[in-house]
Amino acid sequence: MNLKAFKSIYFFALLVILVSACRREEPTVWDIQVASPLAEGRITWSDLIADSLRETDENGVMHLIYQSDFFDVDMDTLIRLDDTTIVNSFTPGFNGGPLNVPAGFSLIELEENITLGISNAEIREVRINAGTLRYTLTSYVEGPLSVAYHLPGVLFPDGTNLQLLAETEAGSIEIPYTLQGEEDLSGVSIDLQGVNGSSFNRIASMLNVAISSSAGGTVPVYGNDSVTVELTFEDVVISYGRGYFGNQETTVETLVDFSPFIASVGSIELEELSLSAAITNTLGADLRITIDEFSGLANGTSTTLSHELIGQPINLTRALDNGNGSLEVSSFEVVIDESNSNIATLVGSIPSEIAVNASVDLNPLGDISGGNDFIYTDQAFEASLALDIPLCLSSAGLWLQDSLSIAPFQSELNVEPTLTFIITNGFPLAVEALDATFHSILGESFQLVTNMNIASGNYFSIDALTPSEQQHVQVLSHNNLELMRQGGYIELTMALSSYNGEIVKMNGNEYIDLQLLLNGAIELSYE
Amino acid sequence: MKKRLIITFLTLLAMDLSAQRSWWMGNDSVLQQNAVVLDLEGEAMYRSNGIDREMLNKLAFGGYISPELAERQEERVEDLMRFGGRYRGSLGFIVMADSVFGNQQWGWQGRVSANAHMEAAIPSGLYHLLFKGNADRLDQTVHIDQTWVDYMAYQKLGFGLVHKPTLSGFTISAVNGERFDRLSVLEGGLYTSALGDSISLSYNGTYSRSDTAVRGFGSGLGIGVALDGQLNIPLNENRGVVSIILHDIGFIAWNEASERFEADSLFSFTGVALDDIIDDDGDGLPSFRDSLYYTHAVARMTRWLPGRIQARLMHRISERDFFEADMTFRPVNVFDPQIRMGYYVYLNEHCMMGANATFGGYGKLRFGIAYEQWMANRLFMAVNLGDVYGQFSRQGLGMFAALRITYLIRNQNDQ
Repeated sequence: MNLKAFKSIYFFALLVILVSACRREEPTVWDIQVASPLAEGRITWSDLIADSLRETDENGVMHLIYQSDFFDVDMDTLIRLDDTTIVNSFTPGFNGGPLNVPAGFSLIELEENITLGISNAEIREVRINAGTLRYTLTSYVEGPLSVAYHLPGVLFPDGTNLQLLAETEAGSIEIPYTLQGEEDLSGVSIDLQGVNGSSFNRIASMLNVAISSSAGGTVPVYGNDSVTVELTFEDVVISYGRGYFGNQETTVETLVDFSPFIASVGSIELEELSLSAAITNTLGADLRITIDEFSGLANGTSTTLSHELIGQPINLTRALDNGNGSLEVSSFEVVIDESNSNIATLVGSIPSEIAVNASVDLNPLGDISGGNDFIYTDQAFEASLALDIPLCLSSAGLWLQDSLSIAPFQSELNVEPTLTFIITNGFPLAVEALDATFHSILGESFQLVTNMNIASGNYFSIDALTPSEQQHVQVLSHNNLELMRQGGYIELTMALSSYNGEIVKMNGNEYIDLQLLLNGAIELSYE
Repeated sequence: MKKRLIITFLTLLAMDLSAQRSWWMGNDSVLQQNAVVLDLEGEAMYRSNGIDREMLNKLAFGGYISPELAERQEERVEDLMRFGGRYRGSLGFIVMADSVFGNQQWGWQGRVSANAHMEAAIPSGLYHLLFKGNADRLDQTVHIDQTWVDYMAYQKLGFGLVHKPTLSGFTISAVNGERFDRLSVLEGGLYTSALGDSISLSYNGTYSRSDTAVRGFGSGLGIGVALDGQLNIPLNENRGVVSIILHDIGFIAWNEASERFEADSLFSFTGVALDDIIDDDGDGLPSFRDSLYYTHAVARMTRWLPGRIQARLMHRISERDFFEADMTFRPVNVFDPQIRMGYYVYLNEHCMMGANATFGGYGKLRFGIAYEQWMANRLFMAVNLGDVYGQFSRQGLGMFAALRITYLIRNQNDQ
């Protein structure tokens, strides 16, 4: 090969290699060892229990205050008007026909009661907040009529009574004349004492049907011709009722949610606490209430309250109506504490629910008001309890269970970290056998922490507590970190024990500091 | 495999910029006897006092950098890891047959070129953080002071004059700025606490760059001017020549879309707030960019070109051999004054070879060889391996590859 040919081949090959070789074929990747803080935070009482449930007394001891209704009397059962349709059909009062009746002649004149069922009570008067009265007038008479349907007991806010006045057109058996309309019942009061003023659940009505003067001549009327009035009460909300509510005995079973704490097994020993129960009677009727059972349910185990109140009747006299909704109510209050009951044992079992079984006897002495029981439906009957737990307690092996949701997070780092948990415990409670299991939204789970112990802060007095600090190391695999990135929740179970098993008092300033440190290999890369 | 082939071929063509030693030290005047000299040149080089070729290949072309490879680089450097590199492709001409304003001693010359230059000074602490992490630097501050990274790409089109007898001359070029990036950290450090429960990053420095909306060859983001020149002073009695050579003395004025980020602050991190994670409304991990404080300005900027000045002495020892002493200066901390000493011998009147030793610049001592050949008085080829060890070893700290083809167009009278 001569020099010229060699150089030609040489330069050509160089050109090819230059074009094709200088190309980036894969990303550059390397690993570094990183030590970095990952997360930090402080858990205080505010994170565990809402501020509204906590108070601090004059001695600096924090109290948990839990308030709830523990049973209710259903007002609707005493006085309620369901959607009701009343149909009355009126005939001329003779057989056969036709009779040629001249214009202006009164065909039907009738005064009677309309029965209005309002629960099982004997109601004499109601006041309505809202509702609608729809009416339909149907005439089968072969001629025009003048119809006046008067309900004198239905009184509108402007002082007028309900009157349905209509001039009908000729109808027939086959094609009757129909007239429809409606009235707003807001603010209406209804006298339910009927025509004679001494009945109950009765609305007085007066009907007058005459041949209309527009008939021009006579109108043939048959004996079986009729005028039908249909009244429909819709969506009626009663604000006040008066009458006799009857003598009723009702059994009430209530479950009170008691889940600021969710415990699995174990108990705490409470030094003192009190349970206040208050019942207020706003009914214009006598009540006799008997609390038959008051118990706490914890993991299927029931602890029954023993107190003189249990099984004994509580008599509540009727409220007095001063007019315009101003009432003089009657009340009953009782304080249940460790001196007169086993309430400390009941609450110390950390119930998830409190069951209250009671019987309510309405008007146990009968109609002593002469049919003047009353009810204002917007002033509810009240039966509440308030539990005051000063945090003076001891515990040995109280198992708790909780869950923390973890939001999904983005991170481009490729890492297999060693996690170090640094925990500073400023509670006078030790955590034993802490297990944390992460459950991803994808359904997979893994153990994040296993059998971790956190020593109690060193407790000397309510104002002298030295936090304790410890570390726990956990290796997190790449796969597990990927699961956490998707989000999910951490399920925690742990056993709590007070400092040396002794009674400890908490002032609300307790805390747990948590630091999460990362130490591990991170893969870095660039394209 | 492809990389090895390109290395092999380029080694046969690699050529120092200051080649053509035989143009001045040769016994014939073949250049001056021709009408036009056409010159096609391509060159790429890198040099470092710590980064070897295996590491550079993985950084440039991809691959896994093992801990052992990262460690090997770090062991070479105690305080500051320096790196420099450039590539250039150019086409030029020298008109020997013409005259300048009637003066036959002078001729015209011109050149068009595409250039890119990069240099970096990485403190050993920063290198350690980038490639090994901070886990073994607990309760210590890793300093990143005097970090410097500079990159510039540009094209030049220039014309000038050449003094035919001595081949001295100059070219004034219009410069088109394609891109620049510059990072400078005056003071900085990363402190990791003993437990690793807090880290603090202090930083005081600037980062400037050209418009990022427009990128690519010939993007025209700046305009400037450059001076290149060579002054050859022949020694008495043809004993040799002293040369002063200027490369890329000039500047580029970058357009109004250039950006400058400036920061002088301290960032501390003790962990993400637990509430952000343990919360249905959590925001997840923070974006640290949002936590770093800096100012941002958009404005015109002027940057010097990566110029250098070279001084060279070539002195005959006898009719057949000579020595060379060369110094190159560049006014930046990352570039030490570079000294080269060489010995060359003529094998025959058309063929010369030699060896040289170079120290300084971006790297350490290296040895090279040179070969130059005239072919049929028409074609000139030069080969120079600036670093023989670096050319063939993965642990070499530099490479130098260049191709130069010079073609002489005869005078019409000679055809």
